[in-house]
Amino acid sequence: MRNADYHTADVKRICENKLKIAFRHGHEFNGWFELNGIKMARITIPKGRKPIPPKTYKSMSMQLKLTVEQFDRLLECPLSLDQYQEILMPPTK
Amino acid sequence: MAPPSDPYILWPTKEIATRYRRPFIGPTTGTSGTISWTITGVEKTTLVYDASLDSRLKALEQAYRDIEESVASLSSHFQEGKVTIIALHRLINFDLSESIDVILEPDGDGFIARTVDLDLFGFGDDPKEAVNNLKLEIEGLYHDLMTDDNFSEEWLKVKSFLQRMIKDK
Repeated sequence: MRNADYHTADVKRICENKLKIAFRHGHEFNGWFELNGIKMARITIPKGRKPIPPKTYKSMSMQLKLTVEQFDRLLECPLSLDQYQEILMPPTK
Repeated sequence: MAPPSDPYILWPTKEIATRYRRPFIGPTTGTSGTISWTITGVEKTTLVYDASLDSRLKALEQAYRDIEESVASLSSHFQEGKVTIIALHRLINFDLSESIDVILEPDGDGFIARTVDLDLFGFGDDPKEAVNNLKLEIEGLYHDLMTDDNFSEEWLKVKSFLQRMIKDK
């Protein structure tokens, strides 16, 4: 479990970039992951925590229907598909 | 003669009458007897002793002491890192038709409250904050689910569940 490596803001940024989750700003951050227009998973990200407590980290992974190990892999690579494409083919000025 | 119903003129015990120096509307008399008091700074009046109200107040005071003891034992319980299951009977803006079971336990330098039936949690610096955040989560999810039906089958079942459970206050 790599909960100690991340701040909750990192998780939010990765979810935004990679999973295209749009977060609602409330007491905590909430957002839905959509697949083909259907809302499949809802994640809650507490504000301002590093390291992320272990049970909270596991709860976040369960909300995304992932094991902790799968969640670790999701977070390890924050590069989005669009960003990768931009690296390969930088926009012409 | 029936005792008057105005709560401001019914004081069951001398101790409460002197503690809460409310202005009185009087005079009053009743079949239970009369007690006269002089309260510094407030007009003198006649009070009616109501035995049923007195017993209700004593029951409330005992319930308050029981809650204080429960809170004290819970505090030591959490300091030992133990898991506690509590029943949530109401949210912040809604009541619940049935209680929702919540697992409350220490997590890192704070506490996490998780529902058994739903994939929801609340994190806080103390148990009360964690439970409060969980209540906000449940209400937030309910509002999300009520916007439309573009959800997976699993979430539509959760929507039906919450529609049964959540009542307006």
